[in-house]
Amino acid sequence: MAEPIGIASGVVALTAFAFKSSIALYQTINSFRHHSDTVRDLRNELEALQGALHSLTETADGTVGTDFSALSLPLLRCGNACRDFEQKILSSASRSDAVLANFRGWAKLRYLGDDVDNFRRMLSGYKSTILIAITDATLCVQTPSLPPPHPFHL
Amino acid sequence: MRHCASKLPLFLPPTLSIFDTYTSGACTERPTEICLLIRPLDFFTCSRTTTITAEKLDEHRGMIDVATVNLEERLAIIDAKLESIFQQSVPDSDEDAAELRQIKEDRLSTQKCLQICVQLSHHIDQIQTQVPSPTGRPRRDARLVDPGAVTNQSVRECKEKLTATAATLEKNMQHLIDRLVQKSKTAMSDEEQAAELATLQADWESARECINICSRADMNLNENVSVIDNFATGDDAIQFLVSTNNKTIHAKNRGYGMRPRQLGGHLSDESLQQVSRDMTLSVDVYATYDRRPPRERSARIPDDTVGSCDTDFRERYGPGFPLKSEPTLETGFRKA
Repeated sequence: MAEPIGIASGVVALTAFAFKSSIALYQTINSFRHHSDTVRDLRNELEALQGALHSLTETADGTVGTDFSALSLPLLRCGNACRDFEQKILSSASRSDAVLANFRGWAKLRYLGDDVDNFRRMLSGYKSTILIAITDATLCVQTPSLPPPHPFHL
Repeated sequence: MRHCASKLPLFLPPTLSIFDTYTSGACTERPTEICLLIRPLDFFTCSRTTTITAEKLDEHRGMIDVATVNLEERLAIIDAKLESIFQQSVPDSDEDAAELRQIKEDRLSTQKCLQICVQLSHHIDQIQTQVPSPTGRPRRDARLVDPGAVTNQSVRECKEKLTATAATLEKNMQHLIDRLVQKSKTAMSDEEQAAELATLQADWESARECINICSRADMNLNENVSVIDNFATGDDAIQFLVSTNNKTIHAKNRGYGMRPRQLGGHLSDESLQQVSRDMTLSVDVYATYDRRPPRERSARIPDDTVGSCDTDFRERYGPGFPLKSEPTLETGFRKA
């Protein structure tokens, strides 16, 4: 049985978890037809979030000296939120909705009291934070083991 | 007139540096550009490249501002939800009721103090831009100080102290919410509501962490990145875009006059002082040459005195002119 994901799982595993959850939510939304603007916005936000998570994996893998451990909790929450929201959609959609790929309950959907648009804004907050952390790490990487610059002589 | 325009990535230090070096002027008389490659090979082994430009930095700054505002709004929404749940929870005993009241009071007080910290921090950010830049000019009277440097130092210390206070208050807030959640959970019969409360608590901590990430990024951007745009139109301009403490530099050196000297990169303080002395000296020599009568000034090295091994010197640096002094190791030139 797979180890349950938690705050101590490490940034790589947490990024993978958030990525997987966001893909699953995206696919569930896509499995229904007739999307309103709000739902389309959420779908676009999920695409952008996946892009940010992908960049995070690449930066964490390819850049020595970066530390993204501060993102652990946001990544875990982001992954959990996507997973829980997907569950909410699936439990709200009746069997006939699923068969007909026609879910009309978007307006009534609530996650921790948030509607679809507020949920999207929450994801947007996570996406922005991830992108800011990546840029910050790229700008401010220090290599403490590096010796001081040699005196230069003309 | 021939124009030289070049973009020279001089070298990439461990902290990111992007330089653009432009020179444009009469290049026929002598070399107009000094390109220095310092710490060559060992740098490249640990360097990193990036496509970030000064415009991207502005974008990054804008993104931090917008994200911070949105996250603070999100935090306020979660706070309101928690507050509403805490209001509904009914304490088991008088003792519990008293403790709950106390925790709620502490929470409100901490919230108010945090707001004050945020307001003050914003205010400091605004006035920080008005503080004059330190001149670095030495004062003859030891009692005199550099007003910009002293004020900058104080403002920075103020900000650091404020950040530390805010961190303490945030920790306090976290403990208070933990306590409230614990107390409220015991008073809740509905498991689903208890689970929602736990999720809201995690959400609150997560939003707070996101704000901290943005705040640290903002601080790094303000303190560790120097954006320099050197623009010189006069002759004999000397342009430095140098960091002696490995700060990140985003810079452009643009010299459009005659004989600009340009230097960019990460150097030790000692090296910078030496290069500065040498550059100033060479400018003085050329200025002396320019002040001589035109007939004397136009005295060029006859072509037949140039050896065959130096034939490409003329091609690269121009015809040159005879010096009336002998160079020495200490000063570069000795008066005749």
